[in-house]
Amino acid sequence: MKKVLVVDDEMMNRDLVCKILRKEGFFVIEAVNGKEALSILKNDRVDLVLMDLMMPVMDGFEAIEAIREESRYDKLPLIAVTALSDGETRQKVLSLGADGCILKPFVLFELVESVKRAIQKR
Amino acid sequence: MKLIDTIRSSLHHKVMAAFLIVGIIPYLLIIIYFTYLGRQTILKQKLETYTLQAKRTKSLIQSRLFQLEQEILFLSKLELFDDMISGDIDHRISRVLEQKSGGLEKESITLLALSNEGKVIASSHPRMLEKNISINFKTAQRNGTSISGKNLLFFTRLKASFEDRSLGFLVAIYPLENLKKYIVTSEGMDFVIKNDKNILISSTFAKDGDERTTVIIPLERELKGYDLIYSVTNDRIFSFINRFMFYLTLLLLVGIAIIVILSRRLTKEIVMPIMTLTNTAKNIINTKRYDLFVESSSTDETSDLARAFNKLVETTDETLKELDSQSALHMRRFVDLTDMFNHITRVDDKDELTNISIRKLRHIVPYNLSFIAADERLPRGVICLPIKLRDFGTGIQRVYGYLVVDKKEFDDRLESRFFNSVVSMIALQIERIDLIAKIKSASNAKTSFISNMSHEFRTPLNAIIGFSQYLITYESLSDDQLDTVSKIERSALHLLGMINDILDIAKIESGKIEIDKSTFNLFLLLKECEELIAPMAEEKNLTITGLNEDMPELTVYTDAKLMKQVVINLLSNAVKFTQKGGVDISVKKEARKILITISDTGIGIAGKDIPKVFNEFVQLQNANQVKHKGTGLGLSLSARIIQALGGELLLKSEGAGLGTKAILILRQ
Repeated sequence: MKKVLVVDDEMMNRDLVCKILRKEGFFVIEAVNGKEALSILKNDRVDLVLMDLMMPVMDGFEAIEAIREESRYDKLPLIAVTALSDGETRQKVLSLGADGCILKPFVLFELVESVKRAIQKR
Repeated sequence: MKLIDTIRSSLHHKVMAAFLIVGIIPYLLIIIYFTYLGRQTILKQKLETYTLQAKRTKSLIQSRLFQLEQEILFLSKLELFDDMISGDIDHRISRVLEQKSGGLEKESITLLALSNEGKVIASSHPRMLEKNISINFKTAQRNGTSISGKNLLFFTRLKASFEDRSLGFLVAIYPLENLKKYIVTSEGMDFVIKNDKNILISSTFAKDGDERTTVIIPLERELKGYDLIYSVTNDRIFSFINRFMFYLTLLLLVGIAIIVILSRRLTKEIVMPIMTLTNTAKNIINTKRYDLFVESSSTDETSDLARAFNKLVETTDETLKELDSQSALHMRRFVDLTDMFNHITRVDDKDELTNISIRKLRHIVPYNLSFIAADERLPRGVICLPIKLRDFGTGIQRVYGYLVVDKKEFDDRLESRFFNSVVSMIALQIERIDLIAKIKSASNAKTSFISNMSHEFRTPLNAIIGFSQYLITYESLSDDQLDTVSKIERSALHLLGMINDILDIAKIESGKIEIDKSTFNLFLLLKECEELIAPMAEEKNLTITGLNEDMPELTVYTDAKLMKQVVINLLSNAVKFTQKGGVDISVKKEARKILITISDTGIGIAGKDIPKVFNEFVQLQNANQVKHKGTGLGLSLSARIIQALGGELLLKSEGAGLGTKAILILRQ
């Protein structure tokens, strides 16, 4: 069973994503900010990270940057999920090393397809 | 009339005419006087003179003859003649007669003593002796006179002293020629004493044909039956006046000649300087050269005029030059000032603004200038002009700083107005800089507020949409539940669409819209849009026409994503506002532009409302209209996007209920 880490400060959104992914047969771990996500990654093997961008303590940009700095996470698929709809954000996230960027609000199938494709690729 | 016009047109002619009138009219009057009135008067006077002369002559002649008669009578009374009867006395008597006739004033009077038979007994002239003198004795019976040839005979009967017995006659032969010396004449006057048959004496007459003036005086006694006639030719009478008239005419001609010459000279003297003046003035007008002068050689008023004219030209020249240099100076100052204002308006930093203002002003005015801030101490003895700024919100004025002019006071109102204007200009630009900064920050605040808000909205919307989809996808819901959840999802999606539109508008307004132009086939794009809208149209039983599978390729260069957004918006509007019929898409290529027309058979728009639908949040409503879904942002956003892409969006409608045409114009 593939393990997915969902990082989002918004409980509602985190809950929604977790519910969907569990229904699709993934094992889901939750984190409320970038810092927490990084500590989980250190101790646990994760197959994919879904990262919200606007978060307190450590936001998604910093977290993605930090993850990609460490070579052992090179193969880890990273998908950003954001409500920031401008292309600038998307470009920035991809250049930091994210594999994809899903715009909130997302369509359910889009999320599921993106996650499945990213895991298969690796 | 032409003559009058000619005279009017030239000073020369005027002067000449004036001279002629003054100089010639008296002559003409004199001539007329002598021709008509003068001649008659002269004739009358002459006639009187002649008559007087004739009368005097008559009395002279008559008295002479009477005297002679008396003398002869006296002679006849002398006793001398008593002796006539004795035959030897003849010579003695003759001698006496000789002596006597000599005494009769030597008028060559011949005295004769006739016998009763008519024989000359004695004579004062020897030749007359022995001759018979035929005397009409009928008349000779008494004393008397008789005319014989050119002579006048005086008879007196001689009587003896002591007895009444006729001795014979004493006859005096008087040559009438002698009377000539008693005839008073004037020069050129002819005279004659004559009766019908006989001319006694006469002067030589001029030709008969001439017109004459004649005076006739009848003579008496001895010359009874004869007339004394004076006769003068009229030419003679009028010779003086004719001569006078001749000289007068001559004088007149000479006068006219003198007048013509004089007026020519005079007008030349008057007119020539005026002509020169006129020509110079014309020259100045034509060439605009004020260094031309009039030369004058005369010393009269015309030279004064020329001098005055020259002075005028000179003064004008100086004034013009002064004006020129002044206007050049003013122009330079004006340009400097404009340049300063030009620079000021381009500056967007306040410190730089005051620096530039002072630097530029130093070119224009000769004073030391400086700027001091509002909180600094004001220097004394110089002019400090406050730069006052007005707060647009509150209307309160505050002093930003002072423009210091190193001068005690302004020279005049003009200078003070100048500096006040400059200060106002600086103040205006500072206000402008502040305002622009304010507007910029306000606009930025608005944009970031909107994008933050939209972000905040998206998060809960994400949950609503996501959970709705979760339920629909993973839970086995009853039909009723499925319908309910679907409605929640659709409403959330609608809300999302609105938020996206607002965000787009904010982006366009703040200039943050991203345009990514590329070349693509317009038909493919339109087809994609049609396919997206098709389900909506099918639901309402509407047709979408105009696009076929085998359309030729039509490449355009623009932002495909934005283009698609606009076309979808227009198509969905068309479907939304149409209940029956369909939507047609047509494309027309013109030089340098492409027109995409989306027409529907829907509710249409009244012409006056067309501008309104481009406003945000306006959705037209009228009595026949059902409330439509949508924010009303669509058209406004589409129009803005097309504008941002360099195109145009037009709406046309024949009126409410008659369908709408949306025309998209893309400039290539």
